[in-house]
Amino acid sequence: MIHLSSGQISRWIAGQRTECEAQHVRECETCHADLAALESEFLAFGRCVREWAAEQQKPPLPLNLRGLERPYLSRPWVWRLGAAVIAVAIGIPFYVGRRSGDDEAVQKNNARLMEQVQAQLSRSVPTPMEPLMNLMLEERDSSQ
Amino acid sequence: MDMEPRARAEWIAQDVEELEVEIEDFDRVIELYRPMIFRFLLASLRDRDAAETTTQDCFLRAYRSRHTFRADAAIRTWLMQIAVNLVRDQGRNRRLQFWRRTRSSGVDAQELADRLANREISPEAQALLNEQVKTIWEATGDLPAKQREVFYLRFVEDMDLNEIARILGTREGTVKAHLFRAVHKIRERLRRTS
Repeated sequence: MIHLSSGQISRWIAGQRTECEAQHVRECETCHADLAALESEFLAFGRCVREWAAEQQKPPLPLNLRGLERPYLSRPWVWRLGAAVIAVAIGIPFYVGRRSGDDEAVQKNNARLMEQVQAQLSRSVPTPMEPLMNLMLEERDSSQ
Repeated sequence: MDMEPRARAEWIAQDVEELEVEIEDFDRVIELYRPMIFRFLLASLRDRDAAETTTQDCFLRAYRSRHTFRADAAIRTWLMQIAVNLVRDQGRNRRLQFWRRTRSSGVDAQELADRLANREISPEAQALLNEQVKTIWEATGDLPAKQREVFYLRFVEDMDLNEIARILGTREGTVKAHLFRAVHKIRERLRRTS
Protein backbone atom coordinates (compact mmCIF):
# COMPACT_ATOMS: atom_id res chain seq x y z
CA MET A 1 0.00 0.00 0.00
CA ILE A 2 1.30 3.43 -0.91
CA HIS A 3 1.01 5.80 1.99
CA LEU A 4 0.43 9.52 1.89
CA SER A 5 3.54 11.50 1.03
CA SER A 6 4.90 14.20 3.30
CA GLY A 7 3.38 16.83 1.03
CA GLN A 8 0.02 15.12 1.04
CA ILE A 9 0.05 14.98 4.83
CA SER A 10 0.84 18.69 5.04
CA ARG A 11 -1.89 19.47 2.52
CA TRP A 12 -4.35 17.34 4.46
CA ILE A 13 -3.67 19.32 7.64
CA ALA A 14 -4.10 22.52 5.61
CA GLY A 15 -7.53 21.38 4.45
CA GLN A 16 -6.51 20.42 0.93
CA ARG A 17 -7.63 16.84 0.54
CA THR A 18 -9.00 14.77 -2.29
CA GLU A 19 -11.65 12.11 -2.04
CA CYS A 20 -9.05 9.55 -2.94
CA GLU A 21 -6.82 10.62 -0.07
CA ALA A 22 -9.79 10.64 2.30
CA GLN A 23 -10.62 7.11 1.27
CA HIS A 24 -7.02 6.05 1.88
CA VAL A 25 -6.92 7.64 5.34
CA ARG A 26 -10.10 5.79 6.27
CA GLU A 27 -8.51 2.50 5.23
CA CYS A 28 -4.85 2.96 6.21
CA GLU A 29 -4.09 2.76 9.93
CA THR A 30 -0.55 4.05 9.48
CA CYS A 31 -1.56 7.23 7.69
CA HIS A 32 -4.49 7.71 10.03
CA ALA A 33 -2.12 7.46 13.02
CA ASP A 34 0.43 9.82 11.44
CA LEU A 35 -2.24 12.44 10.83
CA ALA A 36 -3.66 12.03 14.32
CA ALA A 37 -0.20 12.43 15.87
CA LEU A 38 0.51 15.56 13.89
CA GLU A 39 -2.85 17.06 14.73
CA SER A 40 -2.25 16.18 18.37
CA GLU A 41 1.05 18.08 18.36
CA PHE A 42 -0.57 21.16 16.89
CA LEU A 43 -3.48 20.79 19.29
CA ALA A 44 -1.08 20.70 22.25
CA PHE A 45 0.72 23.72 20.92
CA GLY A 46 -2.52 25.69 20.58
CA ARG A 47 -3.59 24.75 24.11
CA CYS A 48 -0.18 25.74 25.44
CA VAL A 49 -0.30 29.15 23.84
CA ARG A 50 -3.82 29.84 25.09
CA GLU A 51 -3.08 28.88 28.68
CA TRP A 52 0.28 30.60 28.77
CA ALA A 53 -1.09 33.80 27.19
CA ALA A 54 -3.88 33.88 29.78
CA GLU A 55 -1.24 33.98 32.51
CA GLN A 56 0.78 36.68 30.78
CA GLN A 57 -2.13 39.05 30.43
CA LYS A 58 -2.15 41.85 32.97
CA PRO A 59 -5.44 43.11 34.40
CA PRO A 60 -6.91 45.47 31.85
CA LEU A 61 -6.58 49.16 32.54
CA PRO A 62 -9.99 50.80 32.77
CA LEU A 63 -10.47 52.43 29.45
CA ASN A 64 -12.04 55.87 29.59
CA LEU A 65 -14.00 55.43 26.41
CA ARG A 66 -15.07 59.04 26.34
CA GLY A 67 -11.43 59.99 26.38
CA LEU A 68 -10.92 57.73 23.36
CA GLU A 69 -13.27 59.79 21.24
CA ARG A 70 -11.59 61.36 18.27
CA PRO A 71 -10.70 65.01 18.83
CA TYR A 72 -13.47 67.24 17.57
CA LEU A 73 -11.27 68.84 14.97
CA SER A 74 -10.63 65.47 13.32
CA ARG A 75 -14.29 64.80 12.67
CA PRO A 76 -15.52 65.60 9.16
CA TRP A 77 -18.87 66.94 10.27
CA VAL A 78 -17.14 69.55 12.41
CA TRP A 79 -15.33 70.92 9.38
CA ARG A 80 -18.52 70.94 7.29
CA LEU A 81 -20.40 72.78 10.02
CA GLY A 82 -17.58 75.27 10.38
CA ALA A 83 -17.54 75.92 6.65
CA ALA A 84 -21.29 76.46 6.67
CA VAL A 85 -21.04 78.91 9.57
CA ILE A 86 -18.28 80.84 7.82
CA ALA A 87 -20.28 80.93 4.59
CA VAL A 88 -23.29 82.30 6.43
CA ALA A 89 -21.18 84.78 8.36
CA ILE A 90 -19.68 86.13 5.13
CA GLY A 91 -22.99 86.07 3.29
CA ILE A 92 -25.05 88.00 5.80
CA PRO A 93 -23.20 91.33 5.48
CA PHE A 94 -23.40 91.13 1.69
CA TYR A 95 -27.11 90.51 1.86
CA VAL A 96 -27.70 93.20 4.40
CA GLY A 97 -25.48 95.60 2.48
CA ARG A 98 -27.32 94.97 -0.73
CA ARG A 99 -30.67 95.48 0.97
CA SER A 100 -29.54 98.71 2.59
CA GLY A 101 -28.15 99.86 -0.77
CA ASP A 102 -31.52 99.29 -2.35
CA ASP A 103 -33.19 101.18 0.43
CA GLU A 104 -30.77 104.03 0.02
CA ALA A 105 -31.53 104.40 -3.66
CA VAL A 106 -35.23 104.41 -2.97
CA GLN A 107 -34.77 106.96 -0.27
CA LYS A 108 -32.78 109.20 -2.60
CA ASN A 109 -35.49 108.97 -5.20
CA ASN A 110 -38.09 109.79 -2.65
CA ALA A 111 -36.11 112.75 -1.42
CA ARG A 112 -35.64 114.09 -4.95
CA LEU A 113 -39.33 113.71 -5.62
CA MET A 114 -40.19 115.51 -2.45
CA GLU A 115 -37.90 118.35 -3.42
CA GLN A 116 -39.61 118.62 -6.76
CA VAL A 117 -43.02 118.59 -5.15
CA GLN A 118 -41.93 121.13 -2.59
CA ALA A 119 -40.53 123.29 -5.29
CA GLN A 120 -43.78 123.15 -7.18
CA LEU A 121 -45.86 123.89 -4.12
CA SER A 122 -43.69 126.76 -3.05
CA ARG A 123 -43.95 128.52 -6.43
CA SER A 124 -45.83 131.74 -6.28
CA VAL A 125 -46.73 131.36 -9.90
CA PRO A 126 -47.80 128.12 -11.56
CA THR A 127 -45.20 126.82 -14.00
CA PRO A 128 -47.29 127.42 -17.16
CA MET A 129 -47.57 131.08 -16.06
CA GLU A 130 -43.90 131.59 -15.51
CA PRO A 131 -43.03 132.86 -19.02
CA LEU A 132 -45.75 135.58 -18.71
CA MET A 133 -44.54 136.48 -15.23
CA ASN A 134 -40.98 136.83 -16.47
CA LEU A 135 -42.12 139.05 -19.33
CA MET A 136 -44.00 141.32 -16.97
CA LEU A 137 -40.99 141.58 -14.69
CA GLU A 138 -38.77 142.53 -17.61
CA GLU A 139 -41.20 145.28 -18.76
CA ARG A 140 -41.41 146.71 -15.24
CA ASP A 141 -37.65 146.77 -14.94
CA SER A 142 -37.22 148.43 -18.33
CA SER A 143 -39.84 151.13 -17.53
CA GLN A 144 -38.11 152.08 -14.27
CA MET B 1 -9.67 19.10 14.16
CA ASP B 2 -10.84 17.22 17.25
CA MET B 3 -10.61 19.03 20.56
CA GLU B 4 -10.88 17.79 24.09
CA PRO B 5 -14.56 17.75 25.17
CA ARG B 6 -14.13 20.29 27.96
CA ALA B 7 -12.16 22.69 25.84
CA ARG B 8 -14.73 22.34 23.06
CA ALA B 9 -17.56 23.13 25.49
CA GLU B 10 -15.75 26.27 26.59
CA TRP B 11 -15.34 27.37 23.01
CA ILE B 12 -19.03 26.77 22.29
CA ALA B 13 -20.09 28.75 25.38
CA GLN B 14 -17.90 31.60 24.24
CA ASP B 15 -19.39 31.43 20.74
CA VAL B 16 -22.88 31.85 22.19
CA GLU B 17 -21.75 34.80 24.29
CA GLU B 18 -20.11 36.38 21.28
CA LEU B 19 -23.31 36.16 19.27
CA GLU B 20 -25.20 38.09 21.94
CA VAL B 21 -22.85 41.05 22.46
CA GLU B 22 -23.43 44.21 20.45
CA ILE B 23 -20.86 46.70 19.24
CA GLU B 24 -22.36 49.56 21.22
CA ASP B 25 -21.76 47.70 24.47
CA PHE B 26 -18.06 48.31 24.03
CA ASP B 27 -17.08 47.55 27.60
CA ARG B 28 -18.49 44.10 27.11
CA VAL B 29 -16.73 43.78 23.75
CA ILE B 30 -13.41 44.50 25.42
CA GLU B 31 -14.10 42.07 28.23
CA LEU B 32 -15.04 39.31 25.82
CA TYR B 33 -12.37 39.71 23.16
CA ARG B 34 -9.35 41.14 24.95
CA PRO B 35 -7.90 37.70 25.83
CA MET B 36 -8.13 36.56 22.22
CA ILE B 37 -6.55 39.72 20.82
CA PHE B 38 -3.80 39.75 23.43
CA ARG B 39 -3.04 36.08 22.80
CA PHE B 40 -2.74 36.55 19.07
CA LEU B 41 -0.58 39.65 19.47
CA LEU B 42 1.66 38.00 22.07
CA ALA B 43 2.26 35.03 19.80
CA SER B 44 2.85 37.28 16.80
CA LEU B 45 5.02 39.96 18.42
CA ARG B 46 6.80 37.71 20.93
CA ASP B 47 6.94 40.57 23.43
CA ARG B 48 4.67 41.05 26.43
CA ASP B 49 4.86 44.82 26.65
CA ALA B 50 4.34 45.22 22.93
CA ALA B 51 1.39 42.83 23.06
CA GLU B 52 -0.22 44.80 25.90
CA THR B 53 0.30 48.12 24.17
CA THR B 54 -0.89 46.85 20.82
CA THR B 55 -3.95 45.29 22.42
CA GLN B 56 -4.88 48.71 23.78
CA ASP B 57 -4.22 50.22 20.37
CA CYS B 58 -6.44 47.60 18.77
CA PHE B 59 -9.43 48.44 20.95
CA LEU B 60 -8.74 52.14 20.67
CA ARG B 61 -8.83 51.88 16.91
CA ALA B 62 -11.90 49.68 17.04
CA TYR B 63 -13.77 52.09 19.30
CA ARG B 64 -13.01 55.08 17.11
CA SER B 65 -14.12 53.26 13.98
CA ARG B 66 -17.03 51.35 15.49
CA HIS B 67 -19.45 53.27 13.26
CA THR B 68 -17.88 51.45 10.29
CA PHE B 69 -18.63 48.01 11.73
CA ARG B 70 -21.14 46.15 9.59
CA ALA B 71 -23.49 43.82 11.37
CA ASP B 72 -23.08 41.16 8.70
CA ALA B 73 -19.58 40.42 10.00
CA ALA B 74 -18.69 38.98 13.39
CA ILE B 75 -17.15 41.34 15.93
CA ARG B 76 -14.42 38.79 16.47
CA THR B 77 -13.52 38.81 12.78
CA TRP B 78 -13.50 42.61 12.64
CA LEU B 79 -11.30 42.96 15.74
CA MET B 80 -8.87 40.37 14.47
CA GLN B 81 -8.57 42.25 11.17
CA ILE B 82 -7.48 45.31 13.13
CA ALA B 83 -5.01 43.25 15.17
CA VAL B 84 -3.51 41.67 12.04
CA ASN B 85 -3.03 45.10 10.47
CA LEU B 86 -1.33 46.38 13.62
CA VAL B 87 1.08 43.44 13.57
CA ARG B 88 1.87 44.12 9.93
CA ASP B 89 2.48 47.81 10.68
CA GLN B 90 4.94 46.86 13.37
CA GLY B 91 6.58 44.32 11.10
CA ARG B 92 7.36 47.08 8.61
CA ASN B 93 9.07 49.06 11.35
CA ARG B 94 12.49 47.43 11.31
CA ARG B 95 13.92 49.73 13.95
CA LEU B 96 11.21 48.62 16.35
CA GLN B 97 12.05 45.01 15.63
CA PHE B 98 15.69 45.61 16.49
CA TRP B 99 14.92 47.14 19.86
CA ARG B 100 12.36 44.46 20.64
CA ARG B 101 15.01 41.79 20.32
CA THR B 102 17.06 43.45 23.05
CA ARG B 103 14.22 43.92 25.51
CA SER B 104 13.71 41.75 28.54
CA SER B 105 10.00 41.46 27.95
CA GLY B 106 10.64 39.06 25.07
CA VAL B 107 9.20 35.60 25.20
CA ASP B 108 11.20 32.46 25.83
CA ALA B 109 10.09 29.18 24.27
CA GLN B 110 10.79 27.33 27.52
CA GLU B 111 8.08 29.30 29.29
CA LEU B 112 5.64 27.94 26.79
CA ALA B 113 6.80 24.37 27.10
CA ASP B 114 6.61 24.52 30.90
CA ARG B 115 2.85 24.90 30.57
CA LEU B 116 2.59 21.32 29.42
CA ALA B 117 3.23 19.66 32.78
CA ASN B 118 0.94 16.66 32.75
CA ARG B 119 1.09 13.94 35.34
CA GLU B 120 -0.85 11.53 33.18
CA ILE B 121 2.02 10.89 30.80
CA SER B 122 5.47 9.53 31.40
CA PRO B 123 8.41 11.88 31.95
CA GLU B 124 9.90 10.80 28.64
CA ALA B 125 6.69 11.54 26.78
CA GLN B 126 6.45 14.84 28.66
CA ALA B 127 9.98 15.78 27.63
CA LEU B 128 9.23 14.91 24.02
CA LEU B 129 6.04 16.97 24.06
CA ASN B 130 7.88 19.90 25.63
CA GLU B 131 10.49 19.72 22.91
CA GLN B 132 7.86 19.59 20.18
CA VAL B 133 6.04 22.64 21.54
CA LYS B 134 9.31 24.56 21.75
CA THR B 135 10.21 23.58 18.22
CA ILE B 136 6.82 24.61 16.85
CA TRP B 137 7.11 27.93 18.70
CA GLU B 138 10.57 28.62 17.28
CA ALA B 139 9.56 27.44 13.83
CA THR B 140 6.50 29.69 13.70
CA GLY B 141 8.70 32.61 14.69
CA ASP B 142 10.76 32.03 11.55
CA LEU B 143 7.76 31.83 9.24
CA PRO B 144 6.85 34.67 6.87
CA ALA B 145 4.19 36.89 8.43
CA LYS B 146 1.22 35.62 6.43
CA GLN B 147 2.02 31.97 7.05
CA ARG B 148 2.44 32.67 10.75
CA GLU B 149 -0.86 34.56 10.90
CA VAL B 150 -2.74 31.73 9.22
CA PHE B 151 -1.12 29.11 11.43
CA TYR B 152 -1.99 30.93 14.65
CA LEU B 153 -5.53 31.70 13.59
CA ARG B 154 -6.06 28.07 12.64
CA PHE B 155 -4.38 26.22 15.48
CA VAL B 156 -4.38 28.65 18.39
CA GLU B 157 -7.67 30.46 17.76
CA ASP B 158 -9.35 27.41 16.18
CA MET B 159 -10.85 29.49 13.36
CA ASP B 160 -12.07 27.87 10.18
CA LEU B 161 -10.47 28.67 6.86
CA ASN B 162 -13.41 30.77 5.67
CA GLU B 163 -13.17 33.11 8.66
CA ILE B 164 -9.39 33.32 8.32
CA ALA B 165 -9.84 34.33 4.69
CA ARG B 166 -12.23 37.12 5.72
CA ILE B 167 -9.83 38.35 8.38
CA LEU B 168 -6.91 38.46 6.00
CA GLY B 169 -8.96 39.84 3.14
CA THR B 170 -8.09 37.01 0.81
CA ARG B 171 -9.56 33.86 -0.70
CA GLU B 172 -9.86 30.52 1.07
CA GLY B 173 -7.58 28.91 -1.51
CA THR B 174 -4.85 31.39 -0.63
CA VAL B 175 -5.31 30.64 3.06
CA LYS B 176 -4.91 26.92 2.35
CA ALA B 177 -1.74 27.61 0.40
CA HIS B 178 -0.22 29.66 3.24
CA LEU B 179 -1.26 27.03 5.77
CA PHE B 180 0.21 24.23 3.70
CA ARG B 181 3.58 25.99 3.49
CA ALA B 182 3.53 26.79 7.21
CA VAL B 183 2.67 23.24 8.22
CA HIS B 184 5.25 21.80 5.86
CA LYS B 185 8.06 24.00 7.20
CA ILE B 186 7.13 23.25 10.80
CA ARG B 187 7.06 19.54 10.08
CA GLU B 188 10.49 19.76 8.48
CA ARG B 189 11.79 21.49 11.60
CA LEU B 190 10.20 18.85 13.84
CA ARG B 191 11.81 16.12 11.77
CA ARG B 192 15.24 17.73 12.06
CA THR B 193 15.03 18.10 15.83
CA SER B 194 13.54 14.69 16.59
